[in-house]
Amino acid sequence: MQGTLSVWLAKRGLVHRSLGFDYQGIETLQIKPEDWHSIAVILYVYGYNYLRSQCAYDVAPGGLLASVYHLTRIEYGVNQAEEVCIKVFTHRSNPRIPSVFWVWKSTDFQERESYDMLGITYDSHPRLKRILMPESWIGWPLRKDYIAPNFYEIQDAY
Amino acid sequence: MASTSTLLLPSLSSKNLHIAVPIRTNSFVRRTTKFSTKCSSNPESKDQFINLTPAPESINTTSAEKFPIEKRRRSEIIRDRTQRGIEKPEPPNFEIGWKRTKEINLEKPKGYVIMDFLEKFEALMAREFGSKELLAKAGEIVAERAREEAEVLRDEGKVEERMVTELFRVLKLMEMDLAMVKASVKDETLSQRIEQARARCRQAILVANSF
Repeated sequence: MQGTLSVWLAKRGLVHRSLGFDYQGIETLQIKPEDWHSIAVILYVYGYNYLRSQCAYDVAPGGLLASVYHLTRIEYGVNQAEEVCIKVFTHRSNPRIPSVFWVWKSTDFQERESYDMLGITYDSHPRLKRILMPESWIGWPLRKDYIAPNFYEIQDAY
Repeated sequence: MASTSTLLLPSLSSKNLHIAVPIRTNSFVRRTTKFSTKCSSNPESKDQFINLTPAPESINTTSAEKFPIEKRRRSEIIRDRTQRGIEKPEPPNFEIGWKRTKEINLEKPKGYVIMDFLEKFEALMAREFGSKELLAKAGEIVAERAREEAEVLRDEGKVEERMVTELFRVLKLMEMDLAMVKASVKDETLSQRIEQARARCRQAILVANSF
């Protein structure tokens, strides 16, 4: 089943993959990492002028890493804002996704957190460094193959 | 059991009756002794009573001048305060409050939305845009959206017709440049044509800024 945005993108000939709807009824799309810059501009021009949330997760142990963007179309006089969910998947080895900080400024700290927890490098991000863990931390804590250090190793890390 | 309880009661009552009598006797005796001392008509006791009473001359022996407590003096601080007054005069060359020296312009130009779209697209051409076909499609969508916004402004009467026409012309030229980008083969040619398209996009931004 396709949503409104998926139909519009297909009509324009833009490459994407529809992932259906989530449990809240929000349309979900998959975009290639190399096309994410252009698609981001197109979505911004279409009307999605606010990035409500950005996060990342590990799909499976040894599998892909996903970066999720929740975009909102904020307009005057409209109570129920239109929302869409964009997922960009990348490989576990050397995960790189283009940063969209230059389109939506609210993605600054959120991309830093995704880098800190999962190790996804966002290209052309102005200040890409760890935001929660110390700089000397080894590993990415939210990956499913992460081995948590014991108490004494934590002391050594600090 | 009943016999035992009956035996205790008379013993308690007898004890109470026995104890009460001497207490009353003692109190009666003490009271009588007190009365005897008070009712005596001995002249010596009267003299002693008179002697104990202070003499009328000594009642007001201390005069006002010899009062031991010193009178309270006026405080110099209070006197100074009254002389100065409550409010202080303002010093010379003193500006009350902070004054803003630079005004913040909160109003945006009429073509702000169009400028924003074109700036995003111009920044896209400076980055990795994927493929040439995708860049051309993005340019078409941006140009179409810019035209829609310009038409809305024209219908509302905010923008002159000739400015809208000029913007449409520049956007058309930009689309033509993007078509040339799409048709390029060599990397050198591609970069040159992208620069030309960027310059055209900046020109469109200037036109939108002049609305």
